Amino acid sequence: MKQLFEVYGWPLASFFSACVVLWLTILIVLPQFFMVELSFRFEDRGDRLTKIVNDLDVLYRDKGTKEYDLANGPACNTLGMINPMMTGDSSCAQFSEEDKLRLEQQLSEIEDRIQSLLVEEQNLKEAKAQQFPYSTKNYTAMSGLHAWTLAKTVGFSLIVTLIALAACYPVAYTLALQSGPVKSAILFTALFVPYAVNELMRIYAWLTVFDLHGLLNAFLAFVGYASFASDQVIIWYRFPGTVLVVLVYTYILFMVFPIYNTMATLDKNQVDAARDLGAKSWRIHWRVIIPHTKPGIAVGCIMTFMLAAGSFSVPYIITRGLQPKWYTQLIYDKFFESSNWNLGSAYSFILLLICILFILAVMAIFRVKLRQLAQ
Amino acid sequence: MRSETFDRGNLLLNSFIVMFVMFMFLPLILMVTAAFNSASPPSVTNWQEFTLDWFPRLFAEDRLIGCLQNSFRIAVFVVPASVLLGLSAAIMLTRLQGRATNVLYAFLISPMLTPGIVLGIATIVFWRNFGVGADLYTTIVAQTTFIASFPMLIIMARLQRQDRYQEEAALDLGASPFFLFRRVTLPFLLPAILTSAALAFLMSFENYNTTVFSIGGSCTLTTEIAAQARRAHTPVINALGVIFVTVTVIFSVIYTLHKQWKK
Repeated sequence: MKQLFEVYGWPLASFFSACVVLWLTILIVLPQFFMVELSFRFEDRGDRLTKIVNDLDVLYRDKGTKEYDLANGPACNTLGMINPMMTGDSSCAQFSEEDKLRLEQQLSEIEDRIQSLLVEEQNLKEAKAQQFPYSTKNYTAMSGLHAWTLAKTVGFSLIVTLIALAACYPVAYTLALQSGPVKSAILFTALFVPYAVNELMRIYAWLTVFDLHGLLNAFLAFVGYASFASDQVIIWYRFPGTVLVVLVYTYILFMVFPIYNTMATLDKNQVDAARDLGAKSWRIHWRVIIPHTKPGIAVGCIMTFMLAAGSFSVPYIITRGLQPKWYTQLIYDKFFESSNWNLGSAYSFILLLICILFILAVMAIFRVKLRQLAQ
Repeated sequence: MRSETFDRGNLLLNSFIVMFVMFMFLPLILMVTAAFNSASPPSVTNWQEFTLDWFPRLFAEDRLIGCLQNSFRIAVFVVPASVLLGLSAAIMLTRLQGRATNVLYAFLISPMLTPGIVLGIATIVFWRNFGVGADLYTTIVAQTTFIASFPMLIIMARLQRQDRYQEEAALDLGASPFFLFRRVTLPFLLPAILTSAALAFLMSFENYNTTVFSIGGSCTLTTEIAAQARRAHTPVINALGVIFVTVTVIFSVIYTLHKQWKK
């Protein structure tokens, strides 16, 4: 800290510090804290208070209708109500005194009920304010179906990570250690283009494969296993495998580049030396290349898993509503469909915890430190 | 004998690479091709006739253009904010010592390792407490949270290569700290700052997962693409894809040539 102020002077140094503090508090820590705090507040949708609020709604509406009737007489025929020329029409009869009395009595009954409900609501609210506001119910309330969805999402993401690692290690190896400048430049561009094309476009592109008139069905029709004429085609969107394939496709290159970056810093002489000393190919990988590349592999695994588990775009576009929802879609629904933010925050925090656990596991397995990760 | 197995292994490796690259390009090629087919929903195999009609149709989509403008509006704020935050953090982290630095560092790169949707959610939950509803503003904040980490890493990498004696010399010769920063440090960091600004722009422009959770009722280009891809699925989006792919290919080639040339 002292050094910072000495070199940059107090105005600049305090400005930089202020920026960092702002970022750290308002953007990173406090939002997460508020999300977690909200997730521990259980919003009971079936309790007495919710029922009172609903009942009050109904009563107010009823009261309004009755008051309107009392002031305007019984409903005219609809034609008269639509046509402004006929507002004074005598076809709108007046209430008899009897009816009026009955309406007024009903109104006062409604008024009484409203008053008593308001008192009860007030009492309940006060009681609730006295209560300890936190509970873990949002975490224990997850239904079996949602738990299964979560397990499936995590399982799929692990599979995606493993496939990506298995496929990308040879690619990164070729790119970093096995090609001359020209081949390396061509391969790098060939990998960089799909990496840099908008994520959504890459996902969207798969619709041309899975669609009714897509590549797969056309191929099946060509070999005679499907027929467009008799509607014997496969609706590919129904299979969870489609999500897996597209997840792999969309996030696989987040594995290639971190591995490539660390592998490229390996001194090729080390590989040559190992070979000259008689090491077999797999031994060179195991004892020379992989140990050097560990931080890159760790970053690749972390990024791929995190992106796959937290992907909303892939299941949203690919399933087209024909598959059970993905965990991220459940979270989305909690926020924007059933609007239960408390439960949604809990679901979201669970996802965050899983990613943190995964990061810690990867760091333990590969024995890398956080500093090494982001280089 | 040994070289023979080596060659066979090499052949295997190379054919795997070719297949891998084909796998990466096949969907993109299909998408681009379908944009020139008059059939809708877009298809390559159900070929009707060659057409360029989907491009004028794309530019006539008012809603899409409006969403594109929103994407730029967001980026205009996200880019300077993330570069400023990243620069401040990079300078602080390089000058601080001790355990606290590691903790601070861990906190500042944590948004990179957090799922995007969690960042979006945390942002709207936080700002709701102050009566701020989800809109472009919350998206700007949510995106800045994690995009700022990338300028931080890029600028830090450059700062670590800086010759500290240069700064000390300037100070010894009587330069004010502000003058030093403006005339020595900032020009030295300029390439890193420009790179990170470009990266921040791309990340903001292309972001979907954080944006869709924090945008509320508004839209950006990406949320609109996703919504149309799920519901409408017309070749108009393929036409947009053609533009995206073309621009990306041009920039990738320039980038690679530039990299090779620098070597």
